[in-house]
Parts: sequence; structure tokens; C-alpha cells
Amino acid sequence: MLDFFYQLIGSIPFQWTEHTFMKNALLAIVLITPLFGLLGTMIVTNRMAFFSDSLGHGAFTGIAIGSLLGMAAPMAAAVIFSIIFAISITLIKHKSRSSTDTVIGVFSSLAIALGLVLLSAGGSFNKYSSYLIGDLLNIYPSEIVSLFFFFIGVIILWVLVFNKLLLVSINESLARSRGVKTLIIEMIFTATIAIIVTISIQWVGILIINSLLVLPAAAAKNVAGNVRQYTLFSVLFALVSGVCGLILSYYWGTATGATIVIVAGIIFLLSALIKRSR
Amino acid sequence: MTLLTCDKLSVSYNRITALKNVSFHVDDGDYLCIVGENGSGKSTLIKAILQLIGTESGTITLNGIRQTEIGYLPQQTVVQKDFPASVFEVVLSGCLNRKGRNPFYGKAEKALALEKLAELGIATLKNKSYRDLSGGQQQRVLLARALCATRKLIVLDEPVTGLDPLVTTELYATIKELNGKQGIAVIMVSHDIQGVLESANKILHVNVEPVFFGSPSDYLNTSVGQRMTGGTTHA
Ligand SMILES: Nc1ncnc2c1ncn2[C@@H]1O[C@H](COP(=O)(O)OP(=O)(O)O)[C@@H](O)[C@H]1O
Ligand SMILES: [Mg+2]
Repeated sequence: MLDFFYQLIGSIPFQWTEHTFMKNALLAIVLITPLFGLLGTMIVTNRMAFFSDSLGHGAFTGIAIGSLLGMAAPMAAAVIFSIIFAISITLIKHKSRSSTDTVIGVFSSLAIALGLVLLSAGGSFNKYSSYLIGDLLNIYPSEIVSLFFFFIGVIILWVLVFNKLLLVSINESLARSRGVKTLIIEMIFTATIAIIVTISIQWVGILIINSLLVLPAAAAKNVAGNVRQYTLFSVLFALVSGVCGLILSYYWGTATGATIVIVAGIIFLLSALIKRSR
Repeated sequence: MTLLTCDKLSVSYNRITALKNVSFHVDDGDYLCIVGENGSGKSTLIKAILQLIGTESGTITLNGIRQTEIGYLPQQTVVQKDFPASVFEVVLSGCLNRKGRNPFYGKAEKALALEKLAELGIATLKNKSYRDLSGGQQQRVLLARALCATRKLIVLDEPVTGLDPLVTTELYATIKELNGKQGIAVIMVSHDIQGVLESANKILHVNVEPVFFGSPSDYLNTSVGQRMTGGTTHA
């Protein structure tokens, strides 16, 4: 199935398209970044940037626990742990009316510290340092196929809950007055973010994954006039950042994830300029 | 016919009592204005009516209308103020769950949203971005959104906060017209009672406990009523 795409990419007349690892990375980026753009819109709308950052930390702990349990691929344990983490924080947010920043901060720091302690316990932390900055060039074809199905799943889910999620974001009490089960919608949403963050950490890196969620959407918010544009621009900005970042990192020899974030950051600055000039 | 009866209602958050023993009723076509100081439980009462929060004791009975058929204009949130949605998208969101569990908006919902836009005289703003509108226009959009949900009862929580006097008067006139011409019952929380005295036919004054419930003219004869209305106009 991938051969077709390999050939397609290979037909682009640039040197970087000759390498299989670049082809794999490009396919992965085309599948992941739109999801980041999509989910990012609601994170930015709800001012949840801090919250989504903590999800990354929770995912890291999950990976640590998974590794410790001796799993060859700690991903399954990581995904389960980070979903539990995400849902617990959502519940706490729901219960308390006062600012939840402190609670999230405490959970988040504890999670990352626990993750670091667990992973360094065997004295072999180097093995795991890729989780910090990520390695997009080390992605397997089988993972791309799984990503593809995940991509389809998220899109379907998004279409189904979008209108409700939007109303919950804009005005929670109005949403409830329309009979929306807001807690369930929020849980579905945060669990989805938790999953995508967890599986992407190995490629993008925990240090910058949140920027990738926040920057494209924040840029889109600056220039969009309606919800459709907001979603479209955010997905587009994420995709453009991903592809440009990958190519630039190839020629510059830099870390891919970080290069992507720099492109996204530049797009954000441009969008802020456009907003100001209007 | 009585639309809504609230009988000896008490609500508390954890251990703080927000409302105690409040009773009132709203009939078809009524215009009830709820007044009271900041923190006196007005928004709490609105949320209890909409069944968004649990009650401690007492009952709220709806008659001939379901909870999801009440139009609701909540207090403006920060998120809403700078969210990039078009006017049409905002109004359409008021149609959510109008018919069962369909996750999409159909033709009927879109037509309804357009109709409400026209009714409130903001059809030309349809494709404008909500956050670029003036405060008065924004409140009209939110009113249109609330109207999508209802034919009988609309609940407004401080709809004129932050608006200048002229725009406030216009919005009050529109609400009065909805009440008078379409017979939609109105429950409105408001700070400034002056502006609604001649529109409302019932006043409820709460300060956690009920202070007054009755007609505007009776309210003006109470000492608290005189204090609420007198202080602002005669310096
Ligand atoms: N979700 C909540 N949790 C705890 N206390 C609340 C909550 N909402 C309101 N309160 C408190 O209940 C009281 C009444 O609030 P509210 O109904 O918003 O007053 P009003 O709308 O009249 O200004 C206030 O003291 C407020 O602090
Ligand atoms: Mg209030």
C-alpha cells in the first residue's frame, strides 16, 4: 500500500525525496499534523494550552511505566496511562470552580518527575532521550499504516462531536441548556488529545509537542473570520509547518520536530502582523 | 396558563447558600424581571430554572414546555468575545439538539437561524465575524441564538451589561416587542430596573432570600423598591 506513496514522493525532483526515511517521515507528517491543527483549535479556544502541556507530561510517565513493566513497545501502557491522566484532570477541572492551574501544575510536574525517575532508575536514560526531542526520521512503515487508521478514526469522531464540542467551548452553560452532556464531550476530547500526544511524543518530542498543538491554531485564530476558516487555516498551517520543517531540517541537519515548530512560530508571527494591520 | 412555578426553592454550593425559599410563577406571555445586588443569587436562579444545577429543596415545575425548549441568553463569557465565528454560525449553534440527537444542522435549522436573524434586524450581518461586531450587535446575535430554541419562554441573564444607554434602550425595545407581539414569556435578570419598569409585569427581588414578588406598581410602593428605583434617577 505504501509503495504507491513512495513512488509519488520519489517523483518529486529533490534530493531529499530519494531517502526512504524521508518518505516515511513525510507520510507521517501528512497524517499527524492535520490532527494537531484540528485539535489545536479547541485547545486554543478553551485556553487549555497549559492543560494540553500537562497531557504530554502524563504521556511521558505512561511511557516510563510501560518500559518498566518490560514491554517491548511501551506504547499501549503509555496510551492507557495518559488517558487515565487526562480524564482525572478533566474531572478535577469540572469539580472545582476556582482556578485549576495550580492543580494541573502539581499533577503535571509530578508526572514528568516520576517519568524521569523511573526511566533513569536503570541508569540507562540515554536510551529514552529520544522522547525529549523526538525522532521523526525513525518511523516504521507499519506505524504509518496504524497512523492512517488513527487519522480516519479521529476525523470521524471530530465530525460527529464537532457541533457539540464547539458549543461547550463557547459557552458551557448554554450547551447544557441544550441538553449536551458536557462532561462526556470534554472527556472524549481530552482523551483524544492524550492519545495523539502520547503516540507522537516519540517522533516530535515532549519538549515541543505542545507548541505544535497551539501555534497553528493560534495563528489561524488571528486571521480567521468564521469557524470554517479557523479549522481550515489551522490544519493548513500545521501541515505547511510540518512539511517545510521536515525539508529544512534535512538540509540544515537539525532536529525535525524543533524545525517544524520554528516554521509554525514564524507563521504565527506573520498572522499576528496581519491581525494588527487590519 | 402557568408556564413555570418555582416553589420554596433553595440552592447551595457546597456549604454556601445561594438561594433560600424563593417562590414565584410565570404565566404565558409574562415579562418577569429579576433584580438584586451582585452575588444575590440571580444567575443561580436562572441556572436552576434551566436545570443546569441541582436544587437543595423546593421544586421548579415546567408546564407545557420542556427544559430544552427554553431560550437562554447566558452572561457573556470571555471565550465568546474573541472567538472567530461568523454571526450565522453563532445563531445556528442555538439550534443544537433541537431535533433529537442529530449531530448535524439540517435545512430546517438553517432556515430557522436565518428567520431569527431577520426578525432581529441583523440579517445583513450574517457573514460578519462575531468578534468584529459592536456590543449591541453582539447581544442581538445572542438573542437570535436564544430564540432558535424557543417559542414560549426566553431567559436572559444581564443582557445589557456593558452596553451604552442608547443601545440598551433599543435592546429593551426589541425584547418588549418579542414579548408583546409574539407572546414569548420573558425572564430577565437586570441591574438597572429603571429601563424595564414599564415593560415588565412582574418583579422578583432576591437577596438570597426572597425580598419581593409582585407587580411593578406594588414594588414601587415598597421601601426597597423605592430605594432601587429612586437612588438612580434623583440625585
Ligand atoms: N459554581 C459555584 N460554586 C460556588 N459558589 C458559587 C457558584 N456560582 C455562584 N456561586 C456563589 O453564589 C452566590 C450567588 O451567585 P450568582 O447567582 O452568580 O449571583 P448574581 O448572579 O446575583 O450576581 C455568590 O456568592 C457566588 O459567589
Ligand atoms: Mg449573575
